[in-house]
Amino acid sequence: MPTPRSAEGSRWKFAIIAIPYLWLIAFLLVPFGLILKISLSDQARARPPYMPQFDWNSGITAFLRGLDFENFSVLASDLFYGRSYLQSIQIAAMGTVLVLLVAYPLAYGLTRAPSRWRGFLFTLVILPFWTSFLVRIYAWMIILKPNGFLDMGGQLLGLSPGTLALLNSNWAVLIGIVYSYLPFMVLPLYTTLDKIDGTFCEAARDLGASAARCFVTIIIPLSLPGVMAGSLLVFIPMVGEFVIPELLGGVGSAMIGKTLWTEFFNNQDWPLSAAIAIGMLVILFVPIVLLQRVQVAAAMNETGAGGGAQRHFSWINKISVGLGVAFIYLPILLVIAFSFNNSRLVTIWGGFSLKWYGTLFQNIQLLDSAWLSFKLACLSATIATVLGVLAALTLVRFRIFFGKALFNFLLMVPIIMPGMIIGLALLLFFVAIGLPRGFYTLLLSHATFGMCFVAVIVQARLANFDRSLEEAAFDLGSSSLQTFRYVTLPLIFPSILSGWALAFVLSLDDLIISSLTTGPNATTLPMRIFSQVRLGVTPEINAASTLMILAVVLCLGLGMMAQSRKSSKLKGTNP
Amino acid sequence: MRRLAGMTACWLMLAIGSAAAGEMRLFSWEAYFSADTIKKFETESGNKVTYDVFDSNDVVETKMLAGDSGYDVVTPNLSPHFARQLPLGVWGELDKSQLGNIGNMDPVLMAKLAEVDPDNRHAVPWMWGTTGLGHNVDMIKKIMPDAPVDSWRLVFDPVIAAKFKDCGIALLDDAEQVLGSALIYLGLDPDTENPEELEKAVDLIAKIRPYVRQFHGSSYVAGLAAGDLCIAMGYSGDMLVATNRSKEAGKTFTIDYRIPKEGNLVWFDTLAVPVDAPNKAAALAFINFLMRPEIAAAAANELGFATANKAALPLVTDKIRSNVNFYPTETEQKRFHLPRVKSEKQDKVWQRAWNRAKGLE
Repeated sequence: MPTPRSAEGSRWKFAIIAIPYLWLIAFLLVPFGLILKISLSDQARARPPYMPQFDWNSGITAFLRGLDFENFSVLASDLFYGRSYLQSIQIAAMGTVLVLLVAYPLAYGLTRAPSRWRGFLFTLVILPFWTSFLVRIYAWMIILKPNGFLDMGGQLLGLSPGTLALLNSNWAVLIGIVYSYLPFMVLPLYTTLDKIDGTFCEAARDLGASAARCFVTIIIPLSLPGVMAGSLLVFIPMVGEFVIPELLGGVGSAMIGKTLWTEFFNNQDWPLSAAIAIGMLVILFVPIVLLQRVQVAAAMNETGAGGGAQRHFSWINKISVGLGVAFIYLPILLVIAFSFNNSRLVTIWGGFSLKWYGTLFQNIQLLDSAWLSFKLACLSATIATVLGVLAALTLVRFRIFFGKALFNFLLMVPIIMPGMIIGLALLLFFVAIGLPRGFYTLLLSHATFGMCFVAVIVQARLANFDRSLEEAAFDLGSSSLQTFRYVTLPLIFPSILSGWALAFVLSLDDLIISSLTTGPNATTLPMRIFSQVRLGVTPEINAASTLMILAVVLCLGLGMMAQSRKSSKLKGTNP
Repeated sequence: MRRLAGMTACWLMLAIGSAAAGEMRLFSWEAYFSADTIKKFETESGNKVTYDVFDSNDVVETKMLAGDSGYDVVTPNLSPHFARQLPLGVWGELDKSQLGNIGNMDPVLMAKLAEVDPDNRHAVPWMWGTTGLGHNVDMIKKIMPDAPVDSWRLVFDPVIAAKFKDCGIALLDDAEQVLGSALIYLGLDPDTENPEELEKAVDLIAKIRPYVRQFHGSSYVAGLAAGDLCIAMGYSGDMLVATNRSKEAGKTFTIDYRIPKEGNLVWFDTLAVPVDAPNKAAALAFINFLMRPEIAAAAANELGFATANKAALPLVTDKIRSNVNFYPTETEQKRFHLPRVKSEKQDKVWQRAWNRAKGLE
């Protein structure tokens, strides 16, 4: 929105700031305040199961007197929780290093690919991550299970005599984590590496440096900001990871996410769960502050202007891209292939058949959930986009306003905080205000985390956008609204669209926040798949996954075609 | 802005008014009724049924303690779950005048429930069963032909458990069920509050832990059915479900369930109505419908859990009814133990003991 100069402008300014601000306060700040309050209460056999509960009759002093730090002293003194935090940090640290080792050669290889291939290869690498997260974990379950594909492959090659049975071990958790978080590392690495001026290396080569020396002394140091951004971006959510260890982990893995889950659902100890969540925030404080410093938004959005020099796609680059793509696609291809399997067994081929697609379309519950998830994703992404655009305008256009730091921080919360904490905060909030859980609480939750992602994307676009265009419109006498409608909006429209798409996919894929905030008759597709994957897998899930992958490929393909037609048109008019 | 406010108001109205008459919301274990039961009730009563599933009693407890769950009929476990929730005012009183079929229920079981819920005011029984060991007969035979399949030794004796490490042992992930069973095996009080006794059970589990592939509340059904597991500690009827699933998958092996001779834990699932249920009339109609002999028998035949409906017994197939592992006689029932409600403090002590048993601390 244009710079406020008139009364009209300041009214707009107020609305633009107030709407997303109030939303964030209502659905993030207040819930987190509630978590803090509950963490200072005591567990009780009551409804809800904690004391003291605020009561107007007994007054505020009695209520405050009931609060204490007992749960935190339990956390600090009891070794179990300390070890649980430590184990999560260890696994997250190992996971981060492994992701980096896989992602770096891949991202570097991508930037070296010939330009006509680069876009295609990049899309190829990112594409699977638009498909369901659960489906990808499920693919690893059938690979890693005893007598699964890994064991079969090992036996064929004569590598392992018996069964490795990696499933239900920490190794399986690490593989799952590396696989799931790969794009969050590849993306910032790719953009940073792409921006490195190729002539540096050329100059070094002219002065007699080897290719390897150039890589070590020039490329790696220059890519460190990307490494930093990527590492923080994967490390923080890994610490709170719950689903991957739950599905792939085994006996004796107690990451903090699982410990929190157990305290909340099995022990009904809400106050201690709240304290664990706050403990997690304290531990993540340093990485979160660092992450805000490195400006992920900039690292992830800007497309590189680097280049200049001829890029050489060496055989090492080719191999690393090839291996990376194989790692990404192998599990997905297995899922697709076995959706056409006649046998009910997910690892043994019993001839071609379409029967699982038939049973899928008779599975009313699954279809209902799919429809619910679709509706939820569309609606929540739309609300998230409206709120996110307003938030982005607020951040970029209004330099100073009351509580800007808080506003900024609240927007970062859903991006960096483990879903379980957000879900727990929202659930406790909905319980406290007495809102019945169901579709609408899901919608509010999804819109809240979606808006933050939209805001980051749109904000990056708004930040490097030519303000003189708006000023020209003003000079020609257009009103604020007209300027926004005819100048600003079309210019930021692509980022709004990608923000909407991201919010849509995040909503479609969310499991943890949904399972915590849902109610009767509101079982989303990921929740349905999760319970089926846990209880026993049928090729029906493969069929459903294949259809989901197909839908995503179609949508992205159409989007890319539209984009390329548009850009070729532009080229035509602007030779 | 005004439109936004209008929309918000609309949502709120929808959210609050969405539990309109004509809808009955059921919260239960997956496939806990015969396949056509829900449809029959829908056509007969005109109520649309929403059937949401849970996979542990803890999830039920969380939803009930949070309040306003929105459900009309729930199937909580009698003890300790229902028993400790009842004093908190979670469950509503049943209007017996609406439950004409209540006379069909087994009076012995009704009396058992009345120990927790005097005069059966808040719940009626649905199914009951035991916690024991399911096993893959063919796989066990290959490894140890004389394996003690009718004893807890099969999993709790480290020498025997070690033999089955590679073919797969699964235990439940539940302090009260696993430690309780271990205490029974050790000949100790299954509800013990004596830390030394509890520690003996912990040591027992810790010793066999290297041979256990998974601690999980429900995945053993699929594991047994696929042949990925050869021994699973679990609930009686689930083993019949596993058998049915393995047959569907074209497997040729046999899955069997035995009640351990040392004694075991017993459980009862009840039909109860949350105090804040939106559609109490439909809830009562559904419970009354489930108490019909043919409906109860259909579920008993498909699921293998024992029905609490005495009038339904003649309709249960002989093959299931004559199997003492699914329908135990009074001799077996003497060795059964119903877990008692523990204090919150004891629950924590047990949970921590369970963590130690699993090697988490």
